[in-house]
Amino acid sequence: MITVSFFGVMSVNSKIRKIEMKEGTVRDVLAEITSLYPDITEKQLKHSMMVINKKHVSGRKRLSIHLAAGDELVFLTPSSGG
Amino acid sequence: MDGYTGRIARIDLSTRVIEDYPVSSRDYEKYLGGKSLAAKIIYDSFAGKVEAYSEENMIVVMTSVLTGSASPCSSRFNISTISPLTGLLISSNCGGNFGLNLKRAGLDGVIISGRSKEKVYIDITDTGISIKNADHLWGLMTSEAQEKMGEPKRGKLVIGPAGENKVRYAAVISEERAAGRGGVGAVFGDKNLKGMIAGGSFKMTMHDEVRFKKNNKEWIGLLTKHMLTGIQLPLLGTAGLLSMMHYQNLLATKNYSSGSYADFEKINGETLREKHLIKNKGCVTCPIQCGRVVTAFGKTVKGPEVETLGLLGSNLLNNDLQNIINLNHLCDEYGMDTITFGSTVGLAMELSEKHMWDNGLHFGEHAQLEDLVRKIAQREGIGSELAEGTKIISEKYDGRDFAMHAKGLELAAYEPRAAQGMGLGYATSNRGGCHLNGGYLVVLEGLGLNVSGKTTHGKAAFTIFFQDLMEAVSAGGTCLFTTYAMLPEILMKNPNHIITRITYKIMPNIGGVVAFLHNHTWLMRFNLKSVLPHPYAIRMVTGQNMNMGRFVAAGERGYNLERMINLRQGLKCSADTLPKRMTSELQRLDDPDSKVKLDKMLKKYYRIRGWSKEGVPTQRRLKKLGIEVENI
Repeated sequence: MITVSFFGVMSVNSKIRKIEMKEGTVRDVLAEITSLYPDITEKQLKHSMMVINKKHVSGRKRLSIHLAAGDELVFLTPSSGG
Repeated sequence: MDGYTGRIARIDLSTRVIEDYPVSSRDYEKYLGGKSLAAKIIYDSFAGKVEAYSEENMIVVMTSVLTGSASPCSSRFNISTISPLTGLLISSNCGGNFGLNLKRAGLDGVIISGRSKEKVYIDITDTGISIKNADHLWGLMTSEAQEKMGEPKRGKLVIGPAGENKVRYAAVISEERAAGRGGVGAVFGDKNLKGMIAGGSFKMTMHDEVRFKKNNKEWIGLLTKHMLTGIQLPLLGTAGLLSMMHYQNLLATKNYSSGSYADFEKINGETLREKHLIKNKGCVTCPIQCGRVVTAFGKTVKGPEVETLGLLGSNLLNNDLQNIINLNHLCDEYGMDTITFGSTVGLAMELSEKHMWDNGLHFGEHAQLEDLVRKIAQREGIGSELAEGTKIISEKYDGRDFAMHAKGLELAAYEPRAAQGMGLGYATSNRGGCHLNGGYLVVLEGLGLNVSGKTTHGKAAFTIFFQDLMEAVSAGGTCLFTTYAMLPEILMKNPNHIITRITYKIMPNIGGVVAFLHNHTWLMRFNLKSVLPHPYAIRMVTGQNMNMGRFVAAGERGYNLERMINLRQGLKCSADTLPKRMTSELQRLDDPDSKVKLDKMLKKYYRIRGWSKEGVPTQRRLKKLGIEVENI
């Protein structure tokens, strides 16, 4: 299983902080999230900042990354403060 | 004079003489108000170095042109003095209700010098100023003192026991908001001044009220619709940053030995919202409402900001959010800065771990911290040493390498080894290790935007531009958080879009353009209200020919004048530096870029600023900025 974590505005709006999911590519995981949680759209996920195992990933190739057991996929939204 | 009351009072607590301090309309125009005009007053008032704890040192409490104008986020005021923590100029900004009430009392500012023989507070109305006995207030916590002063409709500011006992990082509190940094509260205490109360019915005039109100409406729309100021900050407060900081290696952890904290989810903004938030609360005239209301000791109180969560949480390996909330409240009540408190305790814990100081404090153990706040405020036992801040403690115990300060002021919660620009900002900030006065480039380097924090390219120019912009926004009287609405949403809405990614790649390479614009502000003789509404608002209030270029130039003028004061206080360019850990130790062993490459950026910084290799503003640059100095 992999861990998917949500932070920032998306976690507040969806009321989801952390879920366990099956291994697969990022694309597979996104599809599963949207089917399990209809309040979250694919666009929202694709437009978030993604971090895999504490490494920021971006670009189209990120969707093909394979997530193996124990991996962590994180969705973050831009933030500010002071 | 539109936008100002035109009056600044000077109060000598030694002689009890109260008189008007003359400021020309030209100086109001050049320095706007707040911290920059305070710097002008302090620069003009002294011929040489001034000690923080001296009758000569002055406290300058200033409002600004937009204070009381009802423009967004404009209830702020500034306190400037010579800091007992750094020996340099400190300017500390605060929300609360004092600023606009000072203006209602018919004053733009108050200058306090001397030292009272008895404990006093100052009462200001639109009919006069009086110095009153404060024996009944001395020793009280900040909330109780404000309550005992009575008159709930008037604005107040007070110190707590920490200020009375000259804790070097004592704060001044107005309502629950703090002028926290640099020990302004200790200078109040040294002068036997418990606080001030102000109010009245003075109404300032405005050049073009109709267009000012129209601009306000658009400005509020901009702030409430923007994804940072309109969504993230109201939903999660500044605490919403903490998770991003962890994942971007920006979260000060275990006395800055790491940039991420395994237990961050126990103390982040999401948990604060889910388990503790009662409601939002903001300053007067603020549409953002970033403040949190939570519970501590059975009372509803102000919740912790991200800096406090970082410094009292991850920095001490403290994963107990209720404990952090309690500590935050206690620091406010005793009147001390949570950032310096957390950093000082972090240093003490590291010295304890390294067997350099047997003080009984250990990372991950927070049970005794609540009592430690009291001990520091009362200067009792170990508290008396911790009341001195990191610099003095580190010198005493030969632990300079582990003291996380710049120029004596402790760093904020952003670990700079993952954000080169933030590192440069800390090193060059006039206040010392302050993220905001340092330009807050970390918001571009991984928090709001995602420009690489590893590269040094372009960072000197961006740092300078944002330092000067922040200076102008603060001097103009507006909360710095309003500047986040400047960040283009298009880049944040889809960080994975090819255009966004290309923009992030390009940005470090346009440092030259930014530097050119900074040094040719006359090219920005226009207003872009949808990007930066501040100069247009000032224009409508005062009738001055204010535009973006003049606004940034006003910021540069203030920044340079503050530098001149610091040089007069004995600052050397060798002090434009960072703790050794930040420049010499890798944050992550597998990443050779994970330390601050300061030397590389500092040379460019001086050059773009028009300073000498020794970090001194040149006569030519000062002349260009209209700063008159007798000798450099």
